[in-house]
Amino acid sequence: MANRKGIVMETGKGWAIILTENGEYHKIKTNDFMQVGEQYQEKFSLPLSYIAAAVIILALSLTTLDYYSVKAYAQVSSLAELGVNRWGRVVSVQAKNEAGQQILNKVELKNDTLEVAVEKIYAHDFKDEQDNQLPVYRPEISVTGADKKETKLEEKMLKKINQGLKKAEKARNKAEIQGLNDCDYYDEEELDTEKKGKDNNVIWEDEEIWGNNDLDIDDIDDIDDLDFNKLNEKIQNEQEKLKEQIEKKPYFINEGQMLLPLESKRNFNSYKNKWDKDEDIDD
Amino acid sequence: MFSPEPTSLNSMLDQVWKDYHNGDKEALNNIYEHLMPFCLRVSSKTCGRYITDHDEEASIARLAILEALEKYDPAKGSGLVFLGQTIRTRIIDYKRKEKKHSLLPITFLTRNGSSLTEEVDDGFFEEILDDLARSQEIERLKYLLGDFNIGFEELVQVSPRQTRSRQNANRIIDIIVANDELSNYLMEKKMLPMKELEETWQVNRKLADRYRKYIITAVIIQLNDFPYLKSFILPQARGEQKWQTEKA
Repeated sequence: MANRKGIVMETGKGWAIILTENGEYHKIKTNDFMQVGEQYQEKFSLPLSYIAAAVIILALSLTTLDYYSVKAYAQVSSLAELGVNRWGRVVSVQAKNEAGQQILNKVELKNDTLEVAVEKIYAHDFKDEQDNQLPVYRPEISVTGADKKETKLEEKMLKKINQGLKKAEKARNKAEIQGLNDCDYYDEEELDTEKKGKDNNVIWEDEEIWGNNDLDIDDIDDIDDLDFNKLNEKIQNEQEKLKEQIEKKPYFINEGQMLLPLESKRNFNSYKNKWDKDEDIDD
Repeated sequence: MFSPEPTSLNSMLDQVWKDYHNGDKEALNNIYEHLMPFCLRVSSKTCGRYITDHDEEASIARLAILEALEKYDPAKGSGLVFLGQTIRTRIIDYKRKEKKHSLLPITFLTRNGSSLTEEVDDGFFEEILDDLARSQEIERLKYLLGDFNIGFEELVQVSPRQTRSRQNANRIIDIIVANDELSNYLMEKKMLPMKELEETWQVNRKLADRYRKYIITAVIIQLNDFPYLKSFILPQARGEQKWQTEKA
């Protein structure tokens, strides 16, 4: 867009009519102070939305470029070479031999974290060897930085890989005990539990959440064997215990049959009003 | 009706100064009306907003005219430039006084153009005089276009956008301007000589009709004494070759 020059012919609030050098009349939006007869020189300025869009596109393309740039190579035994980016994700995969190619044909490693990728190769390697009655070896892994200065990154990668392999071995041992094939047991979700936070199973064991209740549902082994008389007796005992507690402790029962601490009796009116209101609504 | 040209305004001011110093204290009344547009424009440029006759700044400008007449020395340069300097200085003094009662810094008083704290040279006032001359031309053009019921807003709508259409319209303009018969017809009848243009000059009637208002405006600018506006309308200024205006 060429910068237009001209004369201000007419002005209004937020606009001006300009006679340009090539004899055209243009109405422009402007907040500048202009007076009729003034010379006008268009300032070249891109709209803010264009600049924002350009910045976003640039940031996205740079991130994408950076994501796919290999920072280190991980050599998994003699099977495959994995190219890893700065976030430890596999961005390029290259088979080193036929066995490696076969594994890579079966498993998708791209965008996986390095430890997950190594574990996937390890798992399939293990399966093949088990099928062929061959001894299983832990894969040899070496990491080399794409840049010579990337020694820290190499160390970090190796640490991560070792963690992944330990986890994989643990999983394999468990699978062997259960008599499962390693690949049957293998679950990618499980490998990522650390990232997803607390394991759900832990919640069921948490006493704080469920309370240490005498009337534990775990005591009942089978629903068919459930003796309702016994259960009723147990509930009655509980209620009696509660009544005794009420007599001993400074609790009271209000109109709504709620067990409230004695301190709250001072604010009883507020409760009463609330219940009164509810009754009014019911009426 | 229209203010005199800035050059004649300058000589008028010199004459008034002589009369004033010869004891004619009423001499200013003759030029006062013509001086005010310049004074208001200097005030507007200094403040960065439109100043009307009723603003405080306009009163300051009026007082500055008297001060300038008292202090002016023709040997030191143009009277209008001196008057402009005086008005600007008085307005800045006024703004500084106002600033004491306000929390805003003085630089906030102008949004664009020259800041109050900025020093200005003679070019600043010469530019204002040029602006005034241009605005007088535009006022005169507006007055003449009123007879044809043409407004600048309409011209924005009916101006040819494409270069080719503009060139075709400019050809018609050049034909009318070059022929007294056609231009007289236009000024008398207040309409384009369509029949003549079509028959003698093989002008496309549809095109001439579509850009009628644009063509009339350009012809009026060229036929009258509008030196500033002419530079925007003339084909030489547009970098185009003048069209063949001899009969085909």
